[in-house]
Amino acid sequence: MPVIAHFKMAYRSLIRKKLRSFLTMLGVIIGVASVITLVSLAQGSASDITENIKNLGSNLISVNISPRGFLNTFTYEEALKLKNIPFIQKAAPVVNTRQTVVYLNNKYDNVNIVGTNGDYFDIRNLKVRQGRVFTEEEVDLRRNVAVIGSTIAEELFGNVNPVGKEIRIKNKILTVIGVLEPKGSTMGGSEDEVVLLPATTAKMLTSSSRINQVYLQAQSPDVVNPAKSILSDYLNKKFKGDEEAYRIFDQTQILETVQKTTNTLSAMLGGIAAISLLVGGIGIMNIMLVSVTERTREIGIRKALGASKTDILLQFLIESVVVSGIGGIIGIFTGVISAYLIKNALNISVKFPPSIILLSIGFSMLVGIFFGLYPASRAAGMNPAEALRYE
Amino acid sequence: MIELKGVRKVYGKGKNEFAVLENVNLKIEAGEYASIIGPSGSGKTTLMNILGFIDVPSSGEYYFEGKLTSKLGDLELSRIRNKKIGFVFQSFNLIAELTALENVELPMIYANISPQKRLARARELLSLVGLSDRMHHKPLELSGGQQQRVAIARALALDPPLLLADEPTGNLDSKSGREIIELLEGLNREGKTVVIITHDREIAARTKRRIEILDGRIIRDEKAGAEVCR
Repeated sequence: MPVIAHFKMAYRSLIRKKLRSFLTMLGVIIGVASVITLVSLAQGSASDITENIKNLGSNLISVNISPRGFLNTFTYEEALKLKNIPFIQKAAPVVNTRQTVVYLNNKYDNVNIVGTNGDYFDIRNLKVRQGRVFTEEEVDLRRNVAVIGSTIAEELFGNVNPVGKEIRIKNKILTVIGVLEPKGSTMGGSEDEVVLLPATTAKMLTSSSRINQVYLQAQSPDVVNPAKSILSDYLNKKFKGDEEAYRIFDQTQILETVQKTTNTLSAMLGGIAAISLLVGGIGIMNIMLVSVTERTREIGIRKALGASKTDILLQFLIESVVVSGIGGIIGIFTGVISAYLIKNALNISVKFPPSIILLSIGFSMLVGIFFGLYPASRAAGMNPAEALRYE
Repeated sequence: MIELKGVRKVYGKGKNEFAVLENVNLKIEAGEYASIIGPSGSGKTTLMNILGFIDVPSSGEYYFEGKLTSKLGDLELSRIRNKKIGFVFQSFNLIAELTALENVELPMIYANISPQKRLARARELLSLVGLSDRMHHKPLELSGGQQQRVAIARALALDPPLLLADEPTGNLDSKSGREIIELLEGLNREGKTVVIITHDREIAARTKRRIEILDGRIIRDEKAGAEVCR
């Protein structure tokens, strides 16, 4: 018997019991929809995070210096020397402190003050919206200039153009020379709530002259790893073998960690959702068993007329696969729609990897086959004489 | 055409074992018109089911067109049921959700016949049994006699040489019963082997051979005129 005829037959018997078919499908629809929704939300936030990390800067290597002991002090000049390490093209030492920033009567508390040099803007992909960044000369000459983040600009200045205005941090008066383009928040907090000063100027705001962090830029993505190993040799010597004194990160490392975490997250969410798909499958099996029993006599008739075991098996199997397959397709649409609704409601990203859509169609078909197989083989194995006697 | 040798059919196991058929020997030649008669519970339906490969004997041999069938697999048996045997049941056994036309098409679907040919043949058969104006009716919209005629049309779909009718008039009034019997007689005249189960003496009297069964054994087997054995 041709497969087309089986499909027609399955379609007809599903149409015959519309409500029952729909309710059976509902289990699969909910299962697939929840897989799609949860995984696409997880993937969406994963790609957000990845994007943020990439925004940190290209070919970035960051060195964190632990704030411990006298030996670990690392001065601005020493940090700048890291630029001479092979494969490294830019170096931006960073002095960090948190201070209150004042403009006239406006105050902004606990602002991240970053003392650095001109390279910092290149390494971190920071661009100014208004004004300019500070020059090497201004760093060397310890000028009282500042580049402020967009949020600071809005909070302190409102509609006033901040460029050329004076702000006060502690007892220092600084002239604003530039405003950064908004960048959004990254793992290190908002990039827009920041005030950038020449490192030399910032040093005077903190009690110590130590450097917390150095951002380095490798010449190309390919040389990040060799640069890291040379860097680590150099720092090892510098800190006399104290490996706790510093840590080196690069973007790919951070990316890998984050991707691992988010993959685990999506797998977990997907797994939880897959359980509901499984429950849907059990629903299919349940209904198929009922349907096989109800149609015992029909099975007997079909066998008497020449249906083989395979014909009967296929008839019921295809019926169950059609239920789960259509349920899967409706589930995908439902899942995509609900993911978009959640996206709009919570303002988060969604991403639909084609693999998850194919996977959920495949998985729901598989559920249909798996849970249809037992009822179908029960139908196929019926003795026609007994089936015909069934009332 | 068919031959049973020492066929036994038991139901149940061990202590509950119960023989429905015991040492049945029966030979039916092509073109015969035979009836199987006996009281209810005598095993005639079981015999008919075995003849039609709907049931299998517990022991004994069944030769169909000269071939021993006990070694045949499901696929071969379903092919015999499909192409060699036409069934007519007491309770019609039409599929309620399908129209008359679709019911007649059913055996042809399992025989892989193309939709166009299927449809043409089903129309032809329904006109043959006088139902050309009822083709798109579902079984419940038809009278008993009409339903049985659909069932006969269905049995004839693949032009099988053997027709097995299990009390085909049991659920019908006498007029439609007579029409059905006349239809079957006509088919026999055209060369089909017809075996009818009945407990209606009148119908049995019209057949050319009467096989009487009691408690699972054949107790009499007579051809019109002469007694064949015992």
